[in-house]
Amino acid sequence: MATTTGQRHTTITPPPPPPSKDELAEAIGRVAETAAQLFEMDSRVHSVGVGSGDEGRPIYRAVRNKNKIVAQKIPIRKLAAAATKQFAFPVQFVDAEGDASPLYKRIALSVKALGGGVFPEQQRHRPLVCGLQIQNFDDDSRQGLFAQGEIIVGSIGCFVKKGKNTFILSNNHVVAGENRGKANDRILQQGAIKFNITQNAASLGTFVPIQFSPVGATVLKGNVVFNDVDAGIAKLVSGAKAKNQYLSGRKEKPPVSIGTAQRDALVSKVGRTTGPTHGKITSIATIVGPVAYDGKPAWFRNSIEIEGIGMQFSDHGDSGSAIVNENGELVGLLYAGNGTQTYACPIAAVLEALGVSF
Amino acid sequence: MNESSLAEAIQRPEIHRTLLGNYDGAYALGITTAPEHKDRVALLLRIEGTVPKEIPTHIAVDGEQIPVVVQGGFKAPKRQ
Repeated sequence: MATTTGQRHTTITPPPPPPSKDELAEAIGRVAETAAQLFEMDSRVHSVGVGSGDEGRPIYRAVRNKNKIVAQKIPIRKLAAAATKQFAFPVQFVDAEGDASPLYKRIALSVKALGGGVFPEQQRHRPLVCGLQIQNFDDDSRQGLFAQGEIIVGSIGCFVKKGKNTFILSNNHVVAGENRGKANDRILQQGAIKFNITQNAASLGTFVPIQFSPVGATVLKGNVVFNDVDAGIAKLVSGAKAKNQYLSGRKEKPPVSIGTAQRDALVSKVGRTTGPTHGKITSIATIVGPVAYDGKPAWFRNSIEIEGIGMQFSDHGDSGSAIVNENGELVGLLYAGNGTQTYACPIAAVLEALGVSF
Repeated sequence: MNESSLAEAIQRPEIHRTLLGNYDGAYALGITTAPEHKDRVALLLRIEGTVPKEIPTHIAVDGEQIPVVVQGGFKAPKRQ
């Protein structure tokens, strides 16, 4: 008796062709600005990357924390439709259970950092001046970012003194990678994925540890841990020259002395991402939170709140910039923002916490 | 009330309870200039979404009535 064995037939759909190199490069080149807008569209979005779509075109893939409590929940279909109209490539939204995804920050910053400068602060300059782009090379190395062609960058605030030594003043999260920094980590200006001695500007000194609060912590519950500052310093390498000035051609007043933030005062800053911007202090002694760090919430008190005048005051990568008033008084150190409001630590608290002088 | 006294007062949980009730989103609460009295201080409260009617327009701090300016549409900041 002849028998036949059953056969299983599987239809194999050929995979879509990969995106062209040109389109992929365009999508990657725009990921930073796209990510910034997607974060604005839905505060639950925490990461944005570039992928390959069904039609062989690049897509942006935005992952959002579906469990995050927000005032207004936007349906994913509505969000995707709006986003796809707005951007050069389709956007796919994916709901995730959690909030922790620091990758977008690295992608966004790295694309800007490596993609060529919009502002000259993103290039290498000597002597070192305020507002220039810097990177903790060793922290990026330990984080394994270079294999992805990424670096994390921020801005020089100003230069401060401790004993006979001169230090770069910036944020903890710029020079010390949100508490990860190790003594003598190399700080490069402008920053690179391969160590370059000509960029070696400073070595990590000390930083004020950022205290994170539990997810869902509130002032009401009494479980918020307040921070007063996000600050760190890096000692200039031997022979390095630094000036508390901006690049020549900048019209903004550089910091010449220390001052206190006043309500309604006009201020300016120069940073690596948005360059020179002007704003007004909208509140002082501000409690603000949760501020999103690498997947961890932090609360701050005594912060200075600033809104740009006719422009966005700051963006990712401007962290560490000096906030200077019309008299040339340094009043704050920029550390966070949401596209409309920018937050800075009061400079007196920063200097005291680090034991340095201007 | 001077700014330093108010700065200390707004760190008290009861101030937040009075202003925010059950709201548990991101917010910013700081000291600003009173809209109609430039020489006086007010509290500036930014919250996500629309502003609920329940948020008071004034709050008593150490016996003094302080105006409260409330603005919606706030987005949680990110470190930059």
